[in-house]
Amino acid sequence: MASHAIRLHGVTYSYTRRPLIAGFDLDIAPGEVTSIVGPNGCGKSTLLKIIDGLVTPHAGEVMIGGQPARSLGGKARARRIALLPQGVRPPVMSVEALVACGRYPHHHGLRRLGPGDREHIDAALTSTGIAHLRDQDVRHLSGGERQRAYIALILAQDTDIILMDEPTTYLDVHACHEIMGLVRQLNAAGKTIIMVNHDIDLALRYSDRVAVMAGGRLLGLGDVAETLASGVIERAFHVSVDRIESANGIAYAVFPVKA
Amino acid sequence: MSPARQRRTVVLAGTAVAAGLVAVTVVAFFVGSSTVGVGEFWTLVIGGEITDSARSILINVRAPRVVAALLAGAALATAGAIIQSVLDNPLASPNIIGINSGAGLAVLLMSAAFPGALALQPVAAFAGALVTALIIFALSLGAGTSRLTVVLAGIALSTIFGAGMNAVLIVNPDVYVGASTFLVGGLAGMTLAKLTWPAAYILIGLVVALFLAGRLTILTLGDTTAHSLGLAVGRWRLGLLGLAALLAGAAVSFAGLLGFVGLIVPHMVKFIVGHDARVVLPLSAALGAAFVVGCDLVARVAFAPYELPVGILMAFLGGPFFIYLIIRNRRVGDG
Repeated sequence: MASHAIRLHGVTYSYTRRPLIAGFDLDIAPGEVTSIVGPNGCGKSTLLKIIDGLVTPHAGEVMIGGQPARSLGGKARARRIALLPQGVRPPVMSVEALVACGRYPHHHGLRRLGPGDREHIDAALTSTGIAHLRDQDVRHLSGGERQRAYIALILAQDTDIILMDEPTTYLDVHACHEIMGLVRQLNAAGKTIIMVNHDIDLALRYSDRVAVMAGGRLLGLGDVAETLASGVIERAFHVSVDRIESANGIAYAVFPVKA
Repeated sequence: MSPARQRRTVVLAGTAVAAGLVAVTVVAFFVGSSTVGVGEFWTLVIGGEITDSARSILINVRAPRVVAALLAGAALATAGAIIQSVLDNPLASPNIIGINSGAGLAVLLMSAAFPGALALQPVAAFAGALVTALIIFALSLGAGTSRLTVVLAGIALSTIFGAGMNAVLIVNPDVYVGASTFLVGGLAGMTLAKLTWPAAYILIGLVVALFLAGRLTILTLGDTTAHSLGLAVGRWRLGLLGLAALLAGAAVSFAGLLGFVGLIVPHMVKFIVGHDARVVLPLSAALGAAFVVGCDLVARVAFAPYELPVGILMAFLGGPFFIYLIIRNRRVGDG
């Protein structure tokens, strides 16, 4: 087994003449929850798209489980890595039909869903807590329920690695913590999770490691204590972070630093 | 809707559409300006002897016309269902986005250049439809392009191609027999010879569409999700649009610019059975076939002894439906 789930080496990408991401190196260990944080426009979401093959880097290499990502065909890649996209328009279908689409990479030609597929779909619906919503139209779900439905879709995809692009965007505070709790559950079940997170408190509370980006470069990657101690978040966002302990657990309060 | 209830709905809808298709096809065979009785029709079906005039009416007049209506309806409705999914645009259909007009202009140009080359007409129609589809596809890729913008671009293309068709017909009025019917879409004067090549293209296109329906369902999840599930999104969008162009072009090559069946029928089907392309495509083909046969039947007999081209009747039905869709699209605010 490879020592890393994802490895990026010298990855460069630009939408314009100015590189958005330049000479980017990153190693993600298997079995961890890693959050990528950084100011708006620093290239976080593009980084996830590069890892998932949605955009091709102009230079450098992406390795998935020790294999070059570009050597994997579409379905082969989709059996190893899944992406929870941000803010997609919900399709006109039931939750169960949506989750069943997750089995697509495991099908060849015209094969219909088999008992094995059904087991994966049922397990995905159960572990995301939406089995009772399976017959509902996806469009009629609340924001949190809809996010769970999409997480069930990528669970049915049955990959070891899950990428999440801002999984708590547009969710109320309770739903945010529910989704993050679900992320930890998936990790406990063996999934490697890499998520772009705009909320520093959630990233620090629910991640094993935090990668801090700014200006298309990786400023630091370490566990939560290392990241806080290095002051890299403060430098990237121009904020200060206070660790607050209470009877309910640990939270992180973020304050702007006056120039 | 629970899976069991969904299955029941699909079976019920499929049975109803199949029964309707058979019924309207049978009625279309023996109803028309010349009377052929049910008995004569049935005798012919089971291989018995009937009068020469009745035989001639059924085989040389009714059969080509009914077969043409079946083929055109199935092809245009399936093309409409594919186009709506590929462009993620409920307002799109072969006539709205200009594919029919592109095919029509190509057919008239081909008829002018190579009169009598019937086999080349569907090829030309496919080429015209494909070029139009590619233009629309390229436009739809632009950042911030709304659904209505795509529709307006299609209307602009239809106008240009319509001017081209009129120019061809003014310069060479004999280029196409029944040119006025061609421009609105009609099935008068159909012959089986004219249908041979388009029928082959349409039947192949329908079978391929059924094979690709699963991929069309994945495409409806949006580009990012479809890619993440392992689908080569750009390649399949283009391929499926090409398939829709093949179906619509083949239909236009013999039925003319038959509009709105590709808009109305997929909406009716989706309203009843949902959006799974594996169900929507075959049901759209069957309902589209029944719809055009039925409309053609009404157009033939409603104003007897005059006969309306079926395209006129369908425009009367489709125009208001299109306006309704535009209003609904604006109301849900996702235009």
